[in-house]
Amino acid sequence: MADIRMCDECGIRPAVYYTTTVINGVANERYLCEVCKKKHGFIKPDIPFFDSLFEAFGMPVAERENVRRNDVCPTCGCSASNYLKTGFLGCPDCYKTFEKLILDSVGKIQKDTKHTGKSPDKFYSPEEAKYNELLRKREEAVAVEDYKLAAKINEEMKKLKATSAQGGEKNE
Amino acid sequence: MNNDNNGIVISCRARLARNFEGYVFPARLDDEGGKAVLKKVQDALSHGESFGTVKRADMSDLQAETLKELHLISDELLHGNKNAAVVVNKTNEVCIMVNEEDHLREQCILSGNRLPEAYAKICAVDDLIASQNKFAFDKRLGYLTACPTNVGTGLRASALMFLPGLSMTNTLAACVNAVSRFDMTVRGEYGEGSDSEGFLYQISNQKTLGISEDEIINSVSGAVAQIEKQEIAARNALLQSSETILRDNIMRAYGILTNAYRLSFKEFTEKFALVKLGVYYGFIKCEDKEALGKMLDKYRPANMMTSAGKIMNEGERDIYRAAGVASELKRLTI
Repeated sequence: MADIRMCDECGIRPAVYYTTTVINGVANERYLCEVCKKKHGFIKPDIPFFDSLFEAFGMPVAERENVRRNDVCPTCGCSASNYLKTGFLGCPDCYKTFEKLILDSVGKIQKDTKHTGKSPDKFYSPEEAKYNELLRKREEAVAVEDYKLAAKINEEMKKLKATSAQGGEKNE
Repeated sequence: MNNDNNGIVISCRARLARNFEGYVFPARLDDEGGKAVLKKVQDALSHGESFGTVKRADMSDLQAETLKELHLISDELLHGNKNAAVVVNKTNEVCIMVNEEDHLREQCILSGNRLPEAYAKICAVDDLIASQNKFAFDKRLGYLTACPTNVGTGLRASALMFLPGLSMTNTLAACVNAVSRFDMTVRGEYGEGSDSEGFLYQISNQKTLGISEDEIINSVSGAVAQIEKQEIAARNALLQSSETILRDNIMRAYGILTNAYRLSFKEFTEKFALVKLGVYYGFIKCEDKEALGKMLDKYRPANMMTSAGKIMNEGERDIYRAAGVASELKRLTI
């Protein structure tokens, strides 16, 4: 399935509209999100079968039909159909309420569905952050069956683990 | 040509999207919740460096537009939740938009390509707020945001670049395609492609989850450095292929900016871009490039009226701008 096309204007929301503009004399195809489209009053394109590109790419057709559009988040009242249409959630709890729906679209618009960065209650040391990064790269290598690269990354991870263990002992 | 201060990377920005646990996102937040969110930020930042708060409701239209022109606030902040506000430090480098699309958009804007420094600064502010509050965070998905396109690190790293060489040699499209393969996007200065007069473009990361903050900062920083190299190569090619036309266009633009009686912002942007290019090539001598660089923001409509201390209509502004630009350019250049 194709990746979600992001809005060419804000670059942060999924595109749901399409238009053509001229930039520096060159005709450009432009894909816009709900918010940017509203801002500039562009016209909705003819996209048959789907209310929005976000909805179209968010989930396979068969599964999408099983999503109850009137599912509502008990905390904020945001509905599944509202999320599918706008790409916006109402509150942090929506992530639990629409978990399946969100994970599916997040898997397509993001690099992975697993956070590897900073956390508010635990600050990763540079070694831990590096280890997480290598872990992800190893998974990527295995996914494309590049076992040579995966083995190389594995070696790097071992070295990093050994170095941090030594560092830890010294500190103790 | 001095490539260390070539004016290609104008500024860089690291921006973190954050939300407090227990509160709905700003689009659905009531008056009480909106006030509580703002108070949380102000309380957290009351220790240490001094910050000032400007509430959207207290902003005049001119003040709002002035801040928007400087990238300190967004359209979403201006037209969204009524408890929206901006919290800034004294240098305007650290700026937190409150109750925008997310509860917090913490950003640090620095001149040049200094993304690691910008991220370190905003990260320290983020830690300070986090030490006294609980952010909405999920072990798997990271920081939870109103739009899942920001979930994870919530980090958007970007750079504002001046790219006349790539634009004039029609190689910008190839450059845009190349960076998009690395999950990055190129767009006009205010996210509006059609408004990219003056050859100003913004480069930023597209993905925020499954990639660490360091990876994002390094990849955007690397792409910006690469585009800078390409821009220099394009400028050299341009000079070799059409120096006479280029020099003529630049000096004509300089002539207009130093002699015009009225000057719209659009015309100023176009001609000023050529003058900056002329300074880069050494066709026009300028000792104070920093002051020259600041001229663009200074003569934006709202910023100009703010510094003039009066409201002007478009016609008055154009006359005022022409006089200011002419005298400043004559003073800064030879």
